[in-house]
Amino acid sequence: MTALLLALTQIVVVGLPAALLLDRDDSPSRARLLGEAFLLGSGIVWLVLFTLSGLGLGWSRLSVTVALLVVAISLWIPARKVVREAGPPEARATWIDLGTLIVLGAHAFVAAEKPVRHGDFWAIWGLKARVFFEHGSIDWAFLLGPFNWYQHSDYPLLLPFNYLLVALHEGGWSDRWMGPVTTLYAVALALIVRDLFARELPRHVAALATLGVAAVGASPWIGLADAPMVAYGTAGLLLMRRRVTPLSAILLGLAACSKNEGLLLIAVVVLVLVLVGRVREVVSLWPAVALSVPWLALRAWHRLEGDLLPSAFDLDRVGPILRGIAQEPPARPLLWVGLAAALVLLVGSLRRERFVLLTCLFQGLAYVAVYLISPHDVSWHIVYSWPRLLEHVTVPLVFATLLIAGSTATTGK
Amino acid sequence: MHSKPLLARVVFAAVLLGALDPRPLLRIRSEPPADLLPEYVRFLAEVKARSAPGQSIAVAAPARSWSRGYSSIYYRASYILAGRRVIPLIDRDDSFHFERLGEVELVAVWGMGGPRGRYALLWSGHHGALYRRLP
Repeated sequence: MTALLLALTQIVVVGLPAALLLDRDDSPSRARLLGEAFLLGSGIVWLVLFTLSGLGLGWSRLSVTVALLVVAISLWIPARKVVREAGPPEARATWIDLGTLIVLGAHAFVAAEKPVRHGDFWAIWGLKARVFFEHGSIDWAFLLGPFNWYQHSDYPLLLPFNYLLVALHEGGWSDRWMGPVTTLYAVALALIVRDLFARELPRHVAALATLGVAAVGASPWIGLADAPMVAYGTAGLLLMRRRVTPLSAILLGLAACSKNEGLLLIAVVVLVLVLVGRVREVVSLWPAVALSVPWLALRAWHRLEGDLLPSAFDLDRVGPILRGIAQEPPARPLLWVGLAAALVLLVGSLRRERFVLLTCLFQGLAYVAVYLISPHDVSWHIVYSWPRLLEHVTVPLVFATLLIAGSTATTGK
Repeated sequence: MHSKPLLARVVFAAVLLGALDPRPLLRIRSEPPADLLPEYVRFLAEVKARSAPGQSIAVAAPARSWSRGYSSIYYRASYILAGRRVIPLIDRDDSFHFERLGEVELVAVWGMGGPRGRYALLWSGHHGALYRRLP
């Protein structure tokens, strides 16, 4: 527990000046800055460990702390001069926010109740962190080993590196307190979303809408990289919606450093920017690409291949894929009834949020299309991955729907 | 005339209530523990204590194929024995590879008899044993 708190403190201390520097034109609330601080700090941890490993300096509690301190000081010097305007008054807490706190608290309780249980933690995300921890840097021999069929050597390393920070403070590997890391990403997203809703909805409605997004954003996949993917992807998308650049692009880049689906999200955002007439903003996504490049380059250099095979493309699979998805019942049926109802009842207002909605649509369609090049049995692959992938688009979809419905309910427009 | 705000409230309420569905969170609590075989995990912890980083260890257990149990056995061993080179004896195409026993330094056998040939027993316990391959 102490190790987790120390890691969290380091992450926020190094991330806060980055948030102050990168989000100064949109007068963010303190809550939003705190959420951004965690997400950016977690990204900086990835970058620092990646750099130390690349330079052959290895990881120790001391080396990583010193490196993070150097980054923090170099960011705090210019950040001190940032004149921060007050956030929107509607972002002030209400008693409804207590509900959000309870939802996230319940998630933290479940995540911390026992050591991480999900098989993908100890076969992919936790496995890599533990192997690298033992090795003291990225263990390329392990990644290139002939028997690593399941751990997916090509997967990006942001989450394992954050587990590593906890382990370095622990002084040894223990997965006892790794679960709440999942909750922290959900908390960070909720803090950002609370501010964004407060800008466009009355105070209590904004708090209720945040409660909804926080509940969906609190990933049931404890220990897996879907939590950071959702947090970075959604925050990046929603800040891109408000044209908060380069912060939004950096967050989208960090989504790509969390899961390969983040790369797809960057491509989809480019497509949607073009479709909605924001072509000039495409170039502002360069930080997203720049953050993705180092791992992609190393992947290519070491020939770490993914398990998707373009040569497996088979259009005859469309039927089985759609049937397989139809047979996967949504985890929250009423939520999807509500989202479908919005599509029918509020169709005239959907255009307002076309950027977010189109991104969700194309990202979802891309996930379906990826099954066409899966080398696995499609029905197994869908059962195994679809509920998690759907979560990536559900959270921004819920944000957009609650915003449209909340706005229409209060203004009549 | 005022139907749109009313419909919007209905949608807002449905999405909010749907989002608050506690079943996904409750499902996590009812998930089986990762360690379905706690004795196997204790065995691996002892194997780790008795082996050195970098050593190669083959893992043998009573599993008939990769998908029917051996993948879990192998990946649990990879996680707990991190730092060692864990070598599978069954591949994901379900082919057996006992020839790899000749390439490893240690053999961790759990829930079954020990290997035949030139092996020295290093330790046994928790329904398993650790052997060192003799030159």
